[in-house]
Order: sequence, then structure tokens, then C-alpha cells
Amino acid sequence: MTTIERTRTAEERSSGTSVWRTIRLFWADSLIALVVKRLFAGVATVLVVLAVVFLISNVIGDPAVLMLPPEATAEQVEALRTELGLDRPLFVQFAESFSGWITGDFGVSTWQGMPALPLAIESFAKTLYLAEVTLIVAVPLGVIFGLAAGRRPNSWVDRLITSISALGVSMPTFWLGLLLILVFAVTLRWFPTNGYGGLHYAVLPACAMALLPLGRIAQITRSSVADEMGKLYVTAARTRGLAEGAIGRQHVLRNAAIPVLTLIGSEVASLLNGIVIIEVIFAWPGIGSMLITSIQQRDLPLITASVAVIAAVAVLVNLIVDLAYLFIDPKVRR
Amino acid sequence: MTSPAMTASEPVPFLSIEDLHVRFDSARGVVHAVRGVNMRVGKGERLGIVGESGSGKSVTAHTILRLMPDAQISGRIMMGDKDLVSASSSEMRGIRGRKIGMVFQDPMTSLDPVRTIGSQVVEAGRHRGLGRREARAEAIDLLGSLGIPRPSDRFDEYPHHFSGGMRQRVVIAAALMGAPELLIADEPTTALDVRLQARLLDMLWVLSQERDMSVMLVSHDLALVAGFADRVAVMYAGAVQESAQVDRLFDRPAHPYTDGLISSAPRLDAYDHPPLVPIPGSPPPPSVRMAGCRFAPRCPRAAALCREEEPALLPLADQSDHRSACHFAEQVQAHGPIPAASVASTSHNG
Ligand SMILES: Nc1ncnc2c1ncn2[C@@H]1O[C@H](COP(=O)(O)OP(=O)(O)OP(=O)(O)O)[C@@H](O)[C@H]1O
Ligand SMILES: [Mg+2]
Repeated sequence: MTTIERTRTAEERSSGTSVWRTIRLFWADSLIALVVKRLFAGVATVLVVLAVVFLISNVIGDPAVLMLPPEATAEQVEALRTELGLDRPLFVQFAESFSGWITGDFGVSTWQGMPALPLAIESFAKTLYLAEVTLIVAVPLGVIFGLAAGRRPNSWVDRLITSISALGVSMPTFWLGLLLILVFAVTLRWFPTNGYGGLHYAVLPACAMALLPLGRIAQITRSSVADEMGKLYVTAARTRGLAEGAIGRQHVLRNAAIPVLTLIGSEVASLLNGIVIIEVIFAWPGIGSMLITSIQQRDLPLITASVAVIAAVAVLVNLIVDLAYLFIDPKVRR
Repeated sequence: MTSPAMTASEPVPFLSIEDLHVRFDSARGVVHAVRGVNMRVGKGERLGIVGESGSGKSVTAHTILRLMPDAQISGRIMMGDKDLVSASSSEMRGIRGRKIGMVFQDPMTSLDPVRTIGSQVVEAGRHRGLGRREARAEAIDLLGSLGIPRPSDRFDEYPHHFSGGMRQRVVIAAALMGAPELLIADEPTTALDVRLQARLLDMLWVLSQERDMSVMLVSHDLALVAGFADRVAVMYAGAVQESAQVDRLFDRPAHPYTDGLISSAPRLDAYDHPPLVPIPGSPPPPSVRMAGCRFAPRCPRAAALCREEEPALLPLADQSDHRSACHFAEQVQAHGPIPAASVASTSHNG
């Protein structure tokens, strides 16, 4: 007994309790270095996306023609080209834009007459609000439904949830949005048909957007939980006398979370796609509406700034998901 | 069914399985996987269970801990005066780990990949009421005695840091942490290389001796069982065909199936033995109903009686500890499983 005691304290002195050991492992694997590396890669990705936007608008099309109404004369186009410096070599223009992107200067919005980036960021804040409400609905409900179904495969709960999620996955978002407006705004008058304001305004667009990720998250959670429940380590835990609830909490949840987490990451990313159409339908003044309007207004700086914000957010979401893996899946930690 | 009288040579049974039947409903009808198993494990006794693939060894082992939710079970599994077949699920939870532990064949999948090995080894100890530090100390001790080097350093590592052999030690440690009185090991070493198999079983043998722990070792490998077990039960087609002390069973088998198994088992000293004689044919599928002895179609000694009447597992005339489910057990033991024709002539001569 004393030998065990001694070994244990010596061991504790050298490597600490398990919490500290985990933190130490993180440092050893240098989490900071990883994050910095990924951030650089992310910035590079955003710059490449912006270069593509630049290429499309400057090489394939003529920004001066784009910015002017269709009936503009050749002289007007020429005048604008000179004014905006579009008559200079493309390389010089690109270098100028590029240094602007790096310093966060995307030029002045031709439509609003204000710096483009703050405008884009401000409208993104509104998108973020809508996305948050959507995720607050979709993620917990999706996970709860998936857990309930996966714990007892082929029970009536499972069948009910499986069919509802199949419905959610197959319903087009814009159509659901219109349906919700018709039922809850026009007929029942519970919620406003469109516009921006408090939670009241966010409910319908958020629900319209939530159904698809909710259904997908429920499906993946269900199959992931059912898979894990059938694995040998669950039976082994049972032979050690663990109660079903404890097996679920201590073993199944974390294993089942790995594919669910991947999905949530990609759902957040695709939410950014779907949100454009929903913002237009519900007249929600977010980044999606901003992008559409800036395209309609032929406002190149604002288009570029909006794309930059969207790309940066996508990169960040991916980084956060990858970091979450570190906490859940020890294999990623090496 | 009358339970055979106990003799002084037989240890007090810790677990006794009486006329156990296990059925599964499947798409292609009822699978009668275990049909009337009778078996007992003494306190501190090491029982080997051998038999061909599909003979119902694993189903029997899993049924003891009631691990198969879709199984229809009848018969009795007595532990003291408690019948595990009719025990409630909360009673079963108290028995699992603390009274009866289990180790599975596949060390790669029987550990949770996202939890440290230490946290899994500790579980059964915590379940038994040990404090956090106590459980940790005992687990490290146990891992060390199972031959894991620097157990306190490895305690917080994850399963993927361990080789198959090391994982199986971890799994055994996790089962032993509950201080079970019986350890069921379903082919615990099959996935490992031969040298490791023997080493691991040696360790298990020592641990069972130290703790007076009964072990049920399920295996294909006769040689492995011969070296480990005190007593052996031979299963065929869902029932025990013969059981005896290990030396008696190997020296004087009283069932043609056991005899066939022994002569078809590869030996290390094969050069001065006759070549392997595999048992011809294959066992009847567990969904088939048939009259008589289920081994009769493959048996070199089968007589008319064998195809009509199913033999019961009964003690041999002079050895109550040696049981065989063969109508001709005594003759087989005395003369070996001679073909039916020569049997007829022998009986004429005698
Ligand atoms: N859950 C189940 N549902 C239906 N049939 C099953 C089930 N489990 C086992 N069986 C059947 O029961 C029979 C006995 O299987 P068991 O796994 O006990 O054999 P075994 O003796 O352990 O063989 P092996 O040496 O290959 O492990 C087999 O025919 C198998 O197909
Ligand atoms: Mg088996």
C-alpha cells in the first residue's frame, strides 16, 4: 500500500491531476501555434475569394459599365473609367485593391456614400442575430430529437421523429418561408409578415431556416447514437454494472457527438447560403439583403466588402469546429 | 429435471445453469441457439468451454449476464438462490461487474475510444463504492499486475495509444476492478498472437488463484483450454455434450464428438502423432428441428437408437463428475468411437 501511495504522489507531482495533464497536453501540442497557422490560412482563403471577385468584375466584365445604368453613353463610361482609375494597368489596380483588402479599406460604397466595410459588418450583425435564433432552435431540438430516436431504434418515437426530419429535410426553405408567412402572419396575424425588429420579427424567418438543419441534425444524431449503442464498448460498460443513463452520458454522447459536430459546422456554413433568400423574403436587412442590393445597385466596393465578411465568417466557423474536435476526439490530439 | 447428487470432489457451485434454452426470432423463423444447456462453475473453479463455431458458447455466456435484449430465455441460471433468468434489470445491474465480470474477444472495440483507459478501468471500482483516489490506486496496481509497464503514466492515455495485447490487459483490468466472483472470458485472446495468448492466460490463471475467482473461459483452442482450465465442458449444437475434469476429458473422452475434437486439434508435437482427422460434415443449423442426437449424422458410432432418442447429459456409471450426452458413453470411453459395423462384431464377440 505504501509503495502505491508513494508512486502515486510522485506521479502526481510530475504530471498533475488529469485536468492539468490535459491542459499540459494541449500546450505540448501547441494549440496557439495551430490556431495561428489556421488563421493565416483563413486570411489567405478570404484573399483568394476576393481576388476571384476582382477577376470576375474587372477582367470578365467592365466595372464602369457595371456601375452605370444600361443606357449610359460611351463618353460617360470613359469618364467614369478615368475617375475611378480603371484606365490604369490591371496589375496596378489589383495591387491597390489588394493593399486595401489587407488594411480593411474596401473603398466607399457608391450607393450609400459611406465606407463599404463598416456597412457590411453592420448588416452582418443583423444576420448574425437571425442565425443565432435559428441555431438556438435547430441545434438543441435536432440533438434532442435525434437522441430520443436513436436511444430506441424502431420504436414509435423513432418512427415519428424520423418521418418529421425527413419532411424537414425535403422541404425547400423559401417555400416554407412563404407558407409560414401565409399561415402565421397573414391568416393568424401572430407575427409580422416582414421587417427587422425584436425577437418577434425573427421568429418566422428563423423557423423557416431552422427546419432543414434541425431535420439533418436529428437524422445524423439518431444514426450516430444508434450506431454507438450497438458497439461493443457499450456492452462492455454494461458488464461493468453501469446504468443505461450513465452509459449514455459517459460513453455514448461523446462518441456520437463527433459526426454531429461536423454536421453542425457545415450546417452553419450552409445557413449562410440559405439566409440570403430568407432575408429577401422577410425583408430582413442582413448581409444577404445587402449583397443582393449592392449587386442590384452595381456597388462594387460594397459587393466586395460583403463577400469578404461572408468568406471570413465561413473560415472562422470551420476553425471553431476544428477546435471543438480537439476537445471531443482524442485521436485528433495525436 | 433432477439435479445430480453432489460429491465431495466437486467444489460448491457458484453458478449453475439448468436446462437453459435461448431462442431468437429471425426473419427466417426461430433460431434455437441454445437448447438445454446444463453447466456448473464451482467457487474458484476455472471452467473451459470448447466447441465448434456456432455451438452456442457465446450465446450461453452472454445470456448469463442477460446481455442480449432480443433473446428469449427459459431455464434457470442459479447464483446461490437467485435465478438470473428472472432477475429484474436493476438486480442484474448489481450483479454485473460486482458478482460476474466479462471480457470479450475484440480488444480493439471493447474500449470507449474517447475516454482515457484509466477512467474506464476505474468505473467498476467506483460502482462498487470505492472513492476516486482509492479506485485510481487499485486500478494502477491491477494494470501493473497484468503486465502494463509504468501503469501510472499510462493511466490517462487513450485506447489508441495501446496495442491489441495491451488493450486486452486493460479490458481484463476493467472487468477485475469490480472484484467479480466469476469472470466470463469469451475468447479473450483469440485476436492476439500465440505467445501473447499463453502469457495473458497465465496472468489470468494467477489472478484467479489469488482472488479465488471462478473463470469461464470460452475458446476454440483445446490446447489453450487444457493448460488453463480445471474442468472442461464441450458444447455442440447448442448443448453441453460432455463435461469432466480436464485430464479425464482429454485422456478418456466419453463422447465421440469430444474424441473427434481432440484428434482434429493441431498439436505442437505433431510429427510423432497420426495426421489430423477432422470431423466430417458440419453441425445442423440452429433453426432445424430433428429427432435424436444432434451429432448422430456425423457420428462414426451412431446406431438406430441415436437417431430416435436424444441422449441426456448424465454422469458416467463410476464417475459422477464426468458427464456425457452419449447413449454409448461407457463404450466410447473404453474403446473409442469405433464405426458401427465393428461395434456390432465386438458386441457379438463379447
Ligand atoms: N442475436 C442473434 N440472433 C439470431 N441468432 C443468433 C444471435 N446470436 C447468435 N445467434 C445464432 O446462435 C448460434 C450460436 O451462436 P454463438 O455465437 O453462441 O456461437 P459460438 O459457439 O460462440 O461460435 P463462435 O465460436 O464462432 O464464437 C449461431 O448459429 C448464431 O447464428
Ligand atoms: Mg462466440
